[in-house]
Amino acid sequence: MSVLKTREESVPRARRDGLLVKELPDELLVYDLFRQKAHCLNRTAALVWNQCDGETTVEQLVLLLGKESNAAVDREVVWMAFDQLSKAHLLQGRARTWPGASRISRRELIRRAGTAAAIALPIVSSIVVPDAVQAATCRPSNASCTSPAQCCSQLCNAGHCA
Amino acid sequence: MEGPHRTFTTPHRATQKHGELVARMLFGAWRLNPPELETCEEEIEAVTPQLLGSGAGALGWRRITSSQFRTSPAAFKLQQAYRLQTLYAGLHEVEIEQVIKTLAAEEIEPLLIKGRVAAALYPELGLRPYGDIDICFDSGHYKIAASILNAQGDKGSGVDMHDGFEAVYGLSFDEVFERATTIKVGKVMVRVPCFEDHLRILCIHFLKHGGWRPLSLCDIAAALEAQEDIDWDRCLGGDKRIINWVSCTIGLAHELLGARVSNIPVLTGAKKLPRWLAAAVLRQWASPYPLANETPEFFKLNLREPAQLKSEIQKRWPNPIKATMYFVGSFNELPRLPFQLGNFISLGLRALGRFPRHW
Repeated sequence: MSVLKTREESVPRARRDGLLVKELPDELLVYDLFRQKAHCLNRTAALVWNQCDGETTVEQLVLLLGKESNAAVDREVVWMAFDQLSKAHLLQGRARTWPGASRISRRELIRRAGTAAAIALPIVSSIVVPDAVQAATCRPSNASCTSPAQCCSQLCNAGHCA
Repeated sequence: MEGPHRTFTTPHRATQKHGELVARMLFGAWRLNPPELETCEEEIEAVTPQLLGSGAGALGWRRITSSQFRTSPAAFKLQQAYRLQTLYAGLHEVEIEQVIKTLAAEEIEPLLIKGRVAAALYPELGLRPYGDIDICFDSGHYKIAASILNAQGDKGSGVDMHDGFEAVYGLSFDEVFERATTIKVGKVMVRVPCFEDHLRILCIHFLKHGGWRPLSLCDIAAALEAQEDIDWDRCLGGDKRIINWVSCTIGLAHELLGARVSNIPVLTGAKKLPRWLAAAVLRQWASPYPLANETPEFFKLNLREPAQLKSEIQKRWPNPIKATMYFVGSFNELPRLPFQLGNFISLGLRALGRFPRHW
């Protein structure tokens, strides 16, 4: 029972391999080199992700988040972050749903703690390609590529532009 | 209803207006603290496709990041471009590093030009997009380097190789190499042309492509403001035509984007542009892509429908800047018609395979 409890209370481990990470003033950008997908983590999600060492307890993380956002933070906020990070394949192991995350809605969390809590809510969003090409000499569909920036579609799948 | 979007109703005015809007959005965008932008949401919405398409989305975002428009839907697209470019800048560094290491293993040291070199003069690397890796070799190494990179398969496919500088930029590779400096890309030091040589390359490259890309003029503007003491003799050389090309491009950077040129008294041409030139650039900027006056689109004309022929020819009528560069002409007040007509005929003949390609 105690072993199970410890596992439940510890944060998961963040995935670090195959990722390119760029820190911006208010957010963290992560590029998944394996899946060729880009993600944007807001400050809360970034904070949670950076603490995902498999050792920190959820309780410690809740306290840390509360200190950062200067607001009372529910444990569900942390579950919500795990859920989103997991779906974006930014945690080790297979993507999964965190039980705590589904118990409460984002709206309910905001309502419960007032608007200050909205600052603390984690957001992991996908960075989608704007609807136009970026490069001057972009490559058409099926042309060989080594990075998405080379393709007119901005998508390089298995060495070929989508 | 009166509003800014009302100005985009007629196609001709839309062309003029969109080009001007692009210029306004990018005015001073390369600076650490860009000037405040006076605009409205409709204008940002209208100009966003041009900015994204020409690779200036991140610079557009920089202009509005501190404004009330930062949360508009158009701003979101520009911000996404900025985020993606920031990440791609990191990927691009890795690619350059790999190519340079591969060539160094064979004792070949090329010169890196354009994209990453130009980006070094911006406050952030993610403010401009990256396509191919432009590297220049002396003729002796060009073929060897090509075979090495071809043997790399996909890893070498993102390299745009240039055989010297002479043909396009009027520079001897050996001289440029001798004056070259280095920048750090990832973990390797990469040799790049000195500031003056690279400024010349950027200016001629902008004109060679008909001035269609506002980002290229931002590169030049950023360079002009990055260095106080520019050796103009070195940048311009002695060729009158090169002086004309470079000074006109600098004049455009000043007139259209507000680049500070007060420290360049030698460039009289920069302050006296041919009257048609800025308008020709703005017409190009109205489109997110280069206008389709190149082969193979060039001769998809339906000759059996004379009624459509006129409008099709109009669409393919050469860009006056590109036509001037095609015939290695000077930018002055003389009409561009002879250049354009000659360019139109040569493009047609080239499409039929009967005329050699200049560049």
